[in-house]
Amino acid sequence: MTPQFDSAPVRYEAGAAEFYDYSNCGAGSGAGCADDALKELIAELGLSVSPMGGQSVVMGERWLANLDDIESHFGLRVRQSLETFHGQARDRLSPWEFYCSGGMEATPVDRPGRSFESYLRQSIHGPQRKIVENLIHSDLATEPSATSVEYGLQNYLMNDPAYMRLYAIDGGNEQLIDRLRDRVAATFRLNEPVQEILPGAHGRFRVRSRPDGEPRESEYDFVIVAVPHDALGGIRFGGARLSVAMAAHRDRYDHPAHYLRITILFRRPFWRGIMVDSYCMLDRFGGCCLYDESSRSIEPGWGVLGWLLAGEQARQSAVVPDDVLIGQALDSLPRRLGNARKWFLEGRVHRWIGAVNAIPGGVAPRSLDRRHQVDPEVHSRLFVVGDYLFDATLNGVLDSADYVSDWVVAELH
Amino acid sequence: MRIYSNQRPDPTSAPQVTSDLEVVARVSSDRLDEAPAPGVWPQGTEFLRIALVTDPPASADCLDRFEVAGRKAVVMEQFRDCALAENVPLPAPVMDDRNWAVIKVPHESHDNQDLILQLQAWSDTFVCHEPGGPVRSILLTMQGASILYRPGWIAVVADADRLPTVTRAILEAAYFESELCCIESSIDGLWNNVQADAAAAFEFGRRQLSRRGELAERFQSVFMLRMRLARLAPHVHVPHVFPPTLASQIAERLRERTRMVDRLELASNKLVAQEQVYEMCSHRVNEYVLTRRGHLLEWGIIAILLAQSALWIYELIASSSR
Repeated sequence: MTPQFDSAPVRYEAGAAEFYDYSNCGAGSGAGCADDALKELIAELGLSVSPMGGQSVVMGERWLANLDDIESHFGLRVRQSLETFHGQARDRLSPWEFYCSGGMEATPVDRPGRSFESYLRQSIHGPQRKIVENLIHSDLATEPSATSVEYGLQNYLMNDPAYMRLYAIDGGNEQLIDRLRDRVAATFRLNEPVQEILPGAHGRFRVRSRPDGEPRESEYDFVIVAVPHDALGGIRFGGARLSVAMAAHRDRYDHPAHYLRITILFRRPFWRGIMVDSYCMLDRFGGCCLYDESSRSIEPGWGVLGWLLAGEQARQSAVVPDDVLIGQALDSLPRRLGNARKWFLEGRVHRWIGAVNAIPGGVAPRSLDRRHQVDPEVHSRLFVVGDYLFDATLNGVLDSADYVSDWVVAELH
Repeated sequence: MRIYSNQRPDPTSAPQVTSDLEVVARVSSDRLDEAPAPGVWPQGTEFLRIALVTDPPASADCLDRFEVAGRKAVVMEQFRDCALAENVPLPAPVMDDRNWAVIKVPHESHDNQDLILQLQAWSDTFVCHEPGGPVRSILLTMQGASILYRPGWIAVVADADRLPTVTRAILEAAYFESELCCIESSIDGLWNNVQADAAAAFEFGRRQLSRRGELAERFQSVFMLRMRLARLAPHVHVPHVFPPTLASQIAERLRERTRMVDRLELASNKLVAQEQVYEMCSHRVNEYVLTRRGHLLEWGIIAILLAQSALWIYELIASSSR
């Protein structure tokens, strides 16, 4: 998750770039402040965090950091239209409703099945729509036509600090996994891909894996399948009933969304003084997020920029060779940032095709129990855990895992 | 009012503005020797002395006026870039709550690092290291604008068309920061009194009766500080604005960099301690005064009863002797 470049001892995030901070969500709403289980866990593990932020959208060579910029580039009407759009979005989804989304207390934002594209078409036009689309495209990881109004609005409103803030773990997000592994007393069998899960006798399950090329079979009372949605297809589920149930589960949440990360190491952070936030949104690559990766590290001197391509553009770019993508990324930088090629040192590309979800929770959300059990009647000891069951975030994975672990503990006692 | 272009000003004729806020613009000290060389200042650089007042002076006494934080911002002095060649004394920070030396530098290029560093080095030569104040000037950088800030001194480097908006926004934010500074120093200035009055919070006697008015005055001044703090709080605990405006971004940055939220809480805690002392003092004083009045009344009643008893005894003796 946090690999290192070959040219210099500099680390970067290859996967999740940031964590979502809900701890301030709902403050002042009368509903109390939200619990943020992931942030509490990170604090409990003794990891320090740094806030991240960015409000700029770069369109062409125009740097839109605030409403004044938008007004000076596009006029007062565009500014007012954006303010109206934001007001309408807030009216549809309050910070507390945003916090509860994905859970049992969630209230429907719009009619199920309506696309975010149709909502945008109805609410906003012209350059202001382009600004909104660029602002949210990398968070959506899909196109507005392929996602719901609720998920689209969530991804737009998450830019408002009243709804959510962002943070990163100092020294790399991978530390979370390392600390968890050190803390939990269990047998870890890493690099042992599971190939098949079969129903066994007395409600037990047989799990077939292949460590170091050698087949192995183990039997368990409970099985929790905690993998991204696209990895479910890589596991075979034995037994006619279980395989049908799992296929139905996969189909229900089969709304793939895509990411592709290009990370480039530079000899110096030549953009400093112009790009002052942790990230900004570029209108290049169909709307991508440009991270100042070196804003979260303490290594002096070097500079690291990360391009997060999303949606259709990421899927199409997945087949493009690394060096071409790196060249395109270098050319995509606004001219005012400086000559990127002059300081270029090394580039890396990471493809996450189908790794996230365009409509997390499904088109018509089910109860939390039903989401986590593919066949509650016969295979009640087989659970699924994933971000796609909640809101396609790391916080969602933790909520999902928490729900299932409580359930299993209750079953055991 | 002074506007300097090519003529050398008379440093003894300090501009004076007196309002209900007691704003006094002081003479700026001559610091040209440490300032960036005249050639470094971009064309169009302006040096202003701006006072924030509730009751502005007559228009003849100021060069310009505009609204900032519900007050009138009055431009008292103005230096134009051509004055630099004439060795005009440039504005230094003024240790005044509502008075700022402002340098507006129009700069189209985004490579303004050297200019900013020079300005910062220059501003750091001013002696205004107040306890709790920033040792160096604070640099706020945002897309298209850089701001150097220290109490009483502001430098804005931005595109020419952005300068008025940025200046207005930083002045507004600086006003609230200076208000907090003012409350903090007022609170700190009261500690000696509080310490001296702490004894009266426990016991109050006849000897201290003459201090009753003084204690009431101090109680009132602490109460007034509490009111100022309460009025300031909404400007410190401002929710983040989204979509942001340039003014909201500048205000948020300054609040964050000057730790205004923490300082407000700290000031509030200090005030609680001072309020407790004077609240207890007021209790003791009132208890003493009420008790004293009660005692006087009791003595009056006793005296009347004694007189009545004496009269009764007298009448009894008189009637029995007959």
